[in-house]
Amino acid sequence: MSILEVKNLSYHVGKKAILRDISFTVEEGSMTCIVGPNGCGKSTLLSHISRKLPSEKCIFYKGQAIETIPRKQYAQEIAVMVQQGMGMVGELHAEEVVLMGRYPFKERFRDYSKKDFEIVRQVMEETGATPLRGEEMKHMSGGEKQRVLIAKAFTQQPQLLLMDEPTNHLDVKYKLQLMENLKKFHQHGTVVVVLHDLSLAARYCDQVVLMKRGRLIEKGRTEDILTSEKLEEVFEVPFHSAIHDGKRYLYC
Amino acid sequence: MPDQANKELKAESMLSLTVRFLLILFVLVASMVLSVKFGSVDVTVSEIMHEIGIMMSTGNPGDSANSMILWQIRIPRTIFAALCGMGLSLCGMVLQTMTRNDLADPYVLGVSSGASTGAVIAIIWGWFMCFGNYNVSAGAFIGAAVSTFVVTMAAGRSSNPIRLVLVGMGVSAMFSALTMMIIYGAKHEAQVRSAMFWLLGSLSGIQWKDLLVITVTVFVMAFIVWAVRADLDLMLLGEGEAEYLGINMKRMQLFVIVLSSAVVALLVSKAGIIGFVGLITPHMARAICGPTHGKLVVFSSVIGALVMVWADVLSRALFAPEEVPIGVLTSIVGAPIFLWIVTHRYGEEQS
Repeated sequence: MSILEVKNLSYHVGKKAILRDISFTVEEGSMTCIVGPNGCGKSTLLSHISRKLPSEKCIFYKGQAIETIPRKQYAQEIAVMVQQGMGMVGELHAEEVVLMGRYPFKERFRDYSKKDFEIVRQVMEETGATPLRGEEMKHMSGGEKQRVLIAKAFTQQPQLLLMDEPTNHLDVKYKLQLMENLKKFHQHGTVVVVLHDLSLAARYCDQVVLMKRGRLIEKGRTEDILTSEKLEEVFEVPFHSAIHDGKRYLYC
Repeated sequence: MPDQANKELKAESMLSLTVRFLLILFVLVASMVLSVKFGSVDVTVSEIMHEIGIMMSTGNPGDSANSMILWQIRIPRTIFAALCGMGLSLCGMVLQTMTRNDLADPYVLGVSSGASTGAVIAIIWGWFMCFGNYNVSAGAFIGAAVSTFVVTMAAGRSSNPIRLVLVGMGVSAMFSALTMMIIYGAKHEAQVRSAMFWLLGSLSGIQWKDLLVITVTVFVMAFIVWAVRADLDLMLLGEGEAEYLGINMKRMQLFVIVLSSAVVALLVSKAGIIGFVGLITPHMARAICGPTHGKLVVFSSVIGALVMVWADVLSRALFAPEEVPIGVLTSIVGAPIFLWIVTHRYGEEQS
């Protein structure tokens, strides 16, 4: 069953077309990766799905146009993790930020429950954010902040997880940890993720949406899409793939 | 095991926060008693305690001369100072959160100027009569709401804190000029005197029945802010993140504007313009208890009250028996701190 459907989505800024007639579906329980060169519209597409940009009645979640979903329900079922600058958040502690992931489940005027704190503790442990617990955000490096935001997204325990380049700033260790976490998460949830690292995409994602200049070039199973020929066409550089220990690696 | 350690850590930090709160509360109460002592007539602390004791036991003030001075003039004034400090501090706190700007404050953003324009319109042009005795407060509220709205709209989505302050300066200048024009255009001298009284800012002459309204308003605000503490915390993440988690940002902003305008309006209409208290005291509170609003609302309240009580004492004591207007005093102390924040936090990134 499809959990997310995008139907003929186009988006213009002035006369410039950012997205041209994008259509695809995301199956429930899949891990879909959006891949493409800089400026191809990946992040813009994610902004539409996350309702930051108007969805123009083109995007459906479980068959329902997403702009008609109540805020609270949307936040309970869909978690969004994007890159952005943070203002006064600097003085917040990591644990306080992660706890905010439980906000959609909190009753109005009530405090966060014991269960919320338990989920926070568990998720921080799993995502390697526990050592950062008592630290202020402003004293953290880019990668550390990223880990806190990742933990916050998982804390929402969503059905659909949208992530825009979550591996940015991360050390190799945490990159792999994140991908393993996503893999574990996608046993019961759906992931749509924008990734730059094609090898990670090839290793972990089962579906790929390939984009170039605002167009969807192709969508399908990872092994059919992430081939050296198709990537060469889109990225305009020669690609090679190699199989090592049963894992496929892409390089150029 | 780590869970146990976690719990102990939490319990310990809660304990130290409670201790800090009680300490500040104690200093506040002691300061208020001391503040009542200051003035042209000497009253000793034991006399103050004696008068309070009489009030407590009989429910009526005693009939000495001291009693008259204490219950009619000094005690209401001190309580008023504490409430003003608390209210302004809370307004500054929510405005700083809403704009995610360290420099936000009712005075800096021009909200106070807007309120004074509204109040002066009510006094001199006689508008808002439909609100009866509260016409001045109503005028101040409308003025405050209009100026906050103008500032928020003009500053737009810009994340540059300096821009917001500049917009606030412009709005403030506009409303101040408007206020002056209205005062100069007044026909009756009594009206002018009445309007000038509000503009210069003063804690004197407050009456018990006004205090009741102010007490209720300020404490209701504190309670409301406490009730939505989690929502305010989320606003710290920024507009995008908060929306993803289900906050209606537009509604929250409107809510903060209405709430802070109401309180600023009431305070301005009774005490005049008092600048910078709302800017500095939330920062002092954050340094003590961190940025989350559940704790912050408590600490901002007591620290705001404490700072204001001492500002009032100084305003009476510095050039006794002459009184320095309270707004002048808070600006003399507050403006340099404001400049310090600007140069230390924003100086570098601008160049």
